[in-house]
Amino acid sequence: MRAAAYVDAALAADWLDAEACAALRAGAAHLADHDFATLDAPARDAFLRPWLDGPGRPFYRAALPLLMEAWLGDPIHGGNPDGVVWAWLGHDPGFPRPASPS
Amino acid sequence: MKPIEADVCVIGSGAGGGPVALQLARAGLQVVVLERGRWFRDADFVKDEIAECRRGKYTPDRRADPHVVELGRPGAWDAWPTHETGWDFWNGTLVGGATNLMSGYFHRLKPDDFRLRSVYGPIAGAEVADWPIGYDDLEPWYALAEREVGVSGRAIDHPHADRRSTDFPHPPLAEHPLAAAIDAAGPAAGLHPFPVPRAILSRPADDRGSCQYTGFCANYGCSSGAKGSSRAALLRRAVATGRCAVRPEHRARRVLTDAAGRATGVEFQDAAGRTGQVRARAVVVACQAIESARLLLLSAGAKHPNGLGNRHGQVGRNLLFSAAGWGLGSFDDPALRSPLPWVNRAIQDGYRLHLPDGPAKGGTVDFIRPHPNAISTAAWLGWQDGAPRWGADLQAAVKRFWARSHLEFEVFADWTPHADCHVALDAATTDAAGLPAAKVRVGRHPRNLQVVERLTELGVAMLKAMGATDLRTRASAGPSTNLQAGGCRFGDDATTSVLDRDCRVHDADNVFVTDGSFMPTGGSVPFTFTIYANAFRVADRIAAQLGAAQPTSITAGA
Ligand SMILES: Cc1cc2nc3c(=O)[nH]c(=O)nc-3n(C[C@H](O)[C@H](O)[C@H](O)COP(=O)(O)OP(=O)(O)OC[C@H]3O[C@@H](n4cnc5c(N)ncnc54)[C@H](O)[C@@H]3O)c2cc1C
Repeated sequence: MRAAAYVDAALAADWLDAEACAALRAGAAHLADHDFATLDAPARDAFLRPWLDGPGRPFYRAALPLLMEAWLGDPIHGGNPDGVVWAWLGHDPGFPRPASPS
Repeated sequence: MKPIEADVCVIGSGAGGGPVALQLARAGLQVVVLERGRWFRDADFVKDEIAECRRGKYTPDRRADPHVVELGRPGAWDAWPTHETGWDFWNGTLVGGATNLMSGYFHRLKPDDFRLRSVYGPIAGAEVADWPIGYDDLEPWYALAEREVGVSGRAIDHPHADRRSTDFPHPPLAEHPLAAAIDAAGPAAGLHPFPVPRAILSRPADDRGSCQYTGFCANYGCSSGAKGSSRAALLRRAVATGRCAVRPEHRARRVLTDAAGRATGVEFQDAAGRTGQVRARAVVVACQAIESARLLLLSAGAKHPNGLGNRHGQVGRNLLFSAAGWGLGSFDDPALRSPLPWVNRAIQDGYRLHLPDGPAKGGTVDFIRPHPNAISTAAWLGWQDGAPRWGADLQAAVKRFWARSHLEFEVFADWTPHADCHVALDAATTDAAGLPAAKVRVGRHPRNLQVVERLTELGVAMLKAMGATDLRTRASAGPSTNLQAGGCRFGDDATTSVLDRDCRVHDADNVFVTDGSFMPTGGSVPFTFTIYANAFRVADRIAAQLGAAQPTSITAGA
């Protein structure tokens, strides 16, 4: 869902508070250190469960809203390309739709 | 800059400002409305959850325009700037104010709400006071506000039904099948559900469109004009008289007073940072409760050394919110699925309660569908019993939530007036314009939660009678940041109130406060309908005081 690019853009913008930025950066570094991207699904879960229940909690708290924005937000903000997630979910996003991010 | 001349300067264009601007312009007076925010038109409002609900498109950046919240207990108050608490006391800084973004649930207060102290007696540790006016004084103005704002509804008989002098001007909105399910289940649970009036047009009227039933209503501006915002319903017509000028991005810095203590006008700052003045015969303050108290405190003058109207230290005292609770239940019956957003049912069977220490004022339970915002719903589903849920589990939970039908309830109860719930100026924290920020101390009375819990039981009883599953409830001890009132009580005793019964500042007879600040007690319904009705009432008094024609007969209609 272009989530990584979405989170990068959020980190570069000015609306995210410093605490959330720090938690996201630290969490991303931790995931990279453990080669998270190369793990299969069961290995990811086995890795995430203890981490998110412990020291990774601030990362989850900061990342969850951004990932949901990337997943279910209007495509003009960079995630949810062509509204594929809305279509998958059967979600009606209402009207009128925005023409550009404001 | 040359001063702007007007008969009346209204500060703030929301629920408190709109009725006054409209009525006084109709009465032939020249009105200038100063509004801090921008002027959006119907066509500017879109459904973009990220911009509208998550990035504060319609509110100032709290880092530049903070409020300071004080939490704790007597002797131990901690101060937090709002950008650190996550709370936001700005609710809509745009022409029409937060009324653009409200849901428009429009209940009236009941006769007892005007005399809580007489009916239920004092509450230890609370500052409960009767109003100086009664239900019958306000009833005609509720009726007028229904016509002017455009309220849809249907009156039925129930044990706590309102005494109404007129019928609803518009038929009820189309209803989701859950409404009929509530009506069917109520009697078995001993409950009496009734239709909830909405400030939303069910049919086009007066150049405004009717509801488009997208359900994206709270937190969103209305693109059809159906929502009875001050902007769409009132200011548009005020401007059409040719006697009302709305000045967006003009922020009042202080009310100016003369040696006798009367207002001479208002000093403002425009978007370019220039200051200027409006000179007026009367000034109306309607910035929403916290900011109105702040503006009065910022408006010191020769006769008002501690702030305008603050001779007895009453400005900012007894700030009110709404005590709140919430519940949710889910249904799998396909007959209860529909894209229609509105349920519009409530119960007031708990309006009078019997608590262990005697009879007590209760409140209202409104039944609604969950907000259709997808991001916030999914982010909520990202937690299961307090633990993170991700990946395929989260996808499945989200998919399942969308496949079912849900009914929420919201509890509204009185915020017990409390000596430690008030607004002051924070000398240490200034806003972008260099003015001291409002410091909001949030003292809470235990009665709030006691009542909310009892009302939550009624909401749960209804959900159970309907066969809902997966019930969840939550009581909230925090302040309802979007429902603010009090801080400038009206009353007949100038030592215990700021305003007289006409909402005129006791010590400055040409200054009026017409937002929710006047309320000594807030009632157990959202405030906006009462703010509108009272502002229509006060507009009549202002017109009379300035020797203008009576704007609108309250019996003849618009
Ligand atoms: C999401 C949401 C849902 C809601 N739903 C409901 C509901 O269903 N029912 C209900 O009754 N209420 C509801 N409300 C509450 C309702 O919006 C408020 O009760 C109502 O708008 C309060 O009226 P007001 O005049 O006090 O403030 P507002 O309507 O907000 O108007 C105040 C105006 O003053 C302006 N202002 C402030 N300071 C200055 C200054 N110094 N100079 C110039 N202008 C200034 C502000 O920008 C603003 O436009 C809801 C609110 C929100 C946010």
